[in-house]
Amino acid sequence: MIELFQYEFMRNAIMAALLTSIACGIVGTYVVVRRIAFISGGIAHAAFGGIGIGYWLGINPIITLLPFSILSAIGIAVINQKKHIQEDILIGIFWSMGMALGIILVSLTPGYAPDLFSYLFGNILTVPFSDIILMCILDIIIITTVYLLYKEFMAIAFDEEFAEISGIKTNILHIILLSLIAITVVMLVKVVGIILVIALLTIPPAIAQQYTRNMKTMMYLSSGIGMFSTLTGLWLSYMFDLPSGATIILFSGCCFGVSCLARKLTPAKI
Amino acid sequence: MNNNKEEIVKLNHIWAGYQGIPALEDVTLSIKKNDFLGIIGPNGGGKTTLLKIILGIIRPLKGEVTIFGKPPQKIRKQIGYVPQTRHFPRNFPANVLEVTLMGRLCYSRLFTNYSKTDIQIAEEKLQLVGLKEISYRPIGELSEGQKQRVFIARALASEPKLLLLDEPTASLDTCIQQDIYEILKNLKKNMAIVLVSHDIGVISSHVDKIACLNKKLFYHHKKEINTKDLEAAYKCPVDIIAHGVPHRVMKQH
Repeated sequence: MIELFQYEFMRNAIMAALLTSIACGIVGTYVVVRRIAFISGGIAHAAFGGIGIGYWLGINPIITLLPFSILSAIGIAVINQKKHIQEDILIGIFWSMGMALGIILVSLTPGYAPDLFSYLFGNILTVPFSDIILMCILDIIIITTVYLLYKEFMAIAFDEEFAEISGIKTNILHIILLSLIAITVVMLVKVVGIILVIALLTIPPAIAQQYTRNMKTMMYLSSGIGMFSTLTGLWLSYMFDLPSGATIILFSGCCFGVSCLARKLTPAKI
Repeated sequence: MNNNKEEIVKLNHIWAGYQGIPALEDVTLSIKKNDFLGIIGPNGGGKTTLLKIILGIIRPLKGEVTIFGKPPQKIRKQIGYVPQTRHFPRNFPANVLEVTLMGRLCYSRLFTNYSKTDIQIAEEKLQLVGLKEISYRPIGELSEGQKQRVFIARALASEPKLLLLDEPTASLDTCIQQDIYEILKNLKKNMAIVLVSHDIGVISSHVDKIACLNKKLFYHHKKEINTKDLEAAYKCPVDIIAHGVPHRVMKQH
């Protein structure tokens, strides 16, 4: 198996798996703790509109994906804040309209859309080195932002009203957090595809949550579990010649199931 | 008696409501230093709205609210708020000290960690409420009474001159309620306390002054409420001889 490492595409795939796991571990912790998995799914699917725009303009879709993703995140954050609107319906609308826009733009683009499938379902084996550089930069942005705003994010996650009273600008922080999710979505598109992004944002932290009650530990643990499941999923997809993204997700889901079972079967602590 | 004490909160002819439905009607209230005021009234009578007006989270439709003479938004560091404990996420990955430290947010700057002073003060307040030993226990593992005490410590961490509590004993057993009231009695020396509750009996045996609120406020700056006020507030005959309502609270008649 060591001969695999001599192939650049394999080295890139492994780097991509590791770098995206870091982002998922950190941002996913907030997604699970704040229970915003539905909002995150909305951002991910709406972002497909950004890919459509890229195709239509004839440029690398990732370039248009990033700003469009962040704009979707801001749009959803602003909706979130208007308390008299029913939030889940509006997120559903954002979700589907973004996808519909992407589909229409792709169909309007003359010629064959070569990578469409890989944006929807991921293809970690075709990640170019330039994407690895981008993932490094995005990781640095995420880590720096969370490090600088750690106590503020924790305050709004635990008790938003109290944070507001204490003078924290909760609206702006909410927008920043959703933007971090948008950035993570961009990183994950090549790895597992837009449809399955939500799985990597939620499964590793959900497993980590069963083992720790400390937020920093939860982030480290989620990143580690993410790395383990993406690398193992990648290996399994290689061994059995299966689509990589889907195998990663299926393996992650099974890990979650095993973890739940293990906890049920071990005697409870007194 | 007590009329020349420093006035902390002044509500002047406050009207408040949501989308045309009035929650408070022409409420005028003055709270002075060292007051320990209990506000009782039926659910939906505007008690939480009143607290939010004092905190400055809700703006009144008419009338003026000032704290130490300034609008509430400018003076939030002086106000400690203890919300109801019911709606908090279970299994939240934070410990008791981390939650208490959130009370220091109003003093801390963006992009920095809490300072050594912040941590010292948070630990001090935890000591005050008797929870210093479990500073590192995850908040999800605490009982309701312990959680309530953490929220009090959190509110105290900003060293406020005014403490607002929203139904602090709502889901607690009577003996735990006693603990909370003991803590509040000791705090009274340093600050004004306003406590909102729907439980007449318990509140009346601990606070110094009582007001009834049901959109309109009935307040006589005393620890007496007559049955007329109570019935006007609750809009139904109140059984004075009910358990736990000490007869000294009622005016002689």
